[in-house]
Amino acid sequence: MTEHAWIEAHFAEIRPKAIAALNRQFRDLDLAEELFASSCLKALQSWPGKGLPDDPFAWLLTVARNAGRDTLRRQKPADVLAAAPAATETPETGYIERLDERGLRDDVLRLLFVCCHPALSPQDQSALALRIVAGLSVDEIARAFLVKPKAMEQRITRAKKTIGRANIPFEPPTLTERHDRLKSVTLMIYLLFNEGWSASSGEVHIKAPLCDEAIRLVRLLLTLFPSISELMGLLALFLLQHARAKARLKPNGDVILLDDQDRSLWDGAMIAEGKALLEKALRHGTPGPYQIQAAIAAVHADAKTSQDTDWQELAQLYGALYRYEPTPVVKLNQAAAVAQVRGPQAALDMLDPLAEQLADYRWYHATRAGLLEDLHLFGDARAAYCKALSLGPTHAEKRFLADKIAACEKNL
Amino acid sequence: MYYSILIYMADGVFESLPQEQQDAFMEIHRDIQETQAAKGDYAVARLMPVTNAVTVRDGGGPDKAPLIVDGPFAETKERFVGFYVVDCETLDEAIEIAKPLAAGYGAIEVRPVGWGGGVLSTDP
Repeated sequence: MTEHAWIEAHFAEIRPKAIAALNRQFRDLDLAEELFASSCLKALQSWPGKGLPDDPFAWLLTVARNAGRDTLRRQKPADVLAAAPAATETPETGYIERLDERGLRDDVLRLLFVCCHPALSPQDQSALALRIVAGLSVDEIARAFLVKPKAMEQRITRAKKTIGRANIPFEPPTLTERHDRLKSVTLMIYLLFNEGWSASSGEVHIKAPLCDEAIRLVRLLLTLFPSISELMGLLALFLLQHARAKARLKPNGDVILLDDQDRSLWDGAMIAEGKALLEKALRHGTPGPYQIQAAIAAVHADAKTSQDTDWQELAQLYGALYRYEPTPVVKLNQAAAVAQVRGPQAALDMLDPLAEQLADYRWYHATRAGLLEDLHLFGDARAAYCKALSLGPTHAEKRFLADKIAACEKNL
Repeated sequence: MYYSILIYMADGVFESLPQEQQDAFMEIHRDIQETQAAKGDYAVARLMPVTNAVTVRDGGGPDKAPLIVDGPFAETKERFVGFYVVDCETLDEAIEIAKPLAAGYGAIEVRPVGWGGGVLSTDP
């Protein structure tokens, strides 16, 4: 990893907490973002020469706070600041306070509830949380949502304005509202984990701090809502996935696919906890997409070697997941499992109808390429790998795809 | 006499410590385990977070099925996170073993064992 990438990894770790703290202080998401970005810029000038400060979080936050106070002094008199709308006061303040009472004050969770403001559509909530909490660029979010960057930029700007304008009634939310809001927040945490698990682009392929943060947040939520089986499922999913973290990258940052991972590097304690939690969740008899995904991860965790994987079970679980989430991406995963049970041709037949919807999704092309390769159709496989390479992969994926293309060419 | 050493800790405290401190704490545990293993019988268990637990509770009568609920989620700050059973001559000796565990992180209860048995494999 270059020094620049190394510092960038620190920024990713610090960002959610810093933005949350700055937003709580200045009550302005745009300002919080700007301040954090400019303090990162200062860090990039200062750290490579002087070395990393003892506490990088405190360093960045102090620089950002000072800059923020300067900005406000120039912009508006002190009393305007005092009268600024309390954007962080939401109907959830009540149960977030339960955390405070228990000594678990948490700015990030608070910020997530702000991003999940009911005045925003679910998609806007997600986009905003990915921008604000996970720190993704507009391009990255656009790719995650399979839309054009321009449209995504407008959507995020609109969402911020809505939150800024909204006069949030200070009433306790109804049970349904509470449930919906919790569902949105859970989804945000899921997206946050995904971004850490497989960065959408850039030099760093895995942003482990985002995964750790997501795990921490869902643990907090589960403490607040101990009987929600989908929350248990979500935490189980995270633990079972994150347990593989050490086995996923070569020392040079290249990706190691699940099949080729050294399974002795998987974290046994995390797997045990994940499986125990999933077992407990399933007892509730209220399955849902997170529990099914955790079950999928558990099937992988149970296999001593890649050959031992119960692909039949996986194909069924993906089928069950598709009933909850009828998305082409789930179908794609199901096809990958089906390939192991019924062969590459059966999987390709499942993929063909998805061609249009997933035209810009690089994993679609990479998966298809692998299947074509298995059928020894090296010319078609090469073309599909090239297509994936053109769709903005991370550096580690680029190397993987380049290797694959070279291998196909050798076989042509 | 067997003594149990019961460890209580607030949720999330251990996980939020810096890595070096977590490592140092685990080192204390390794020391205890090595010393006790050299001496003879001992037992140790580290419990998973309380979010993984269920409570089986009396259903309210002999003919009622027991209730199975998530938790325990008592509104307490400190939770039971693990225990040792060690073989000691005196209470003082057991307290000496417990002391390093208390260092700043939690409360340790030392209680004599009335009866003990069973075998645990070290590789669950």
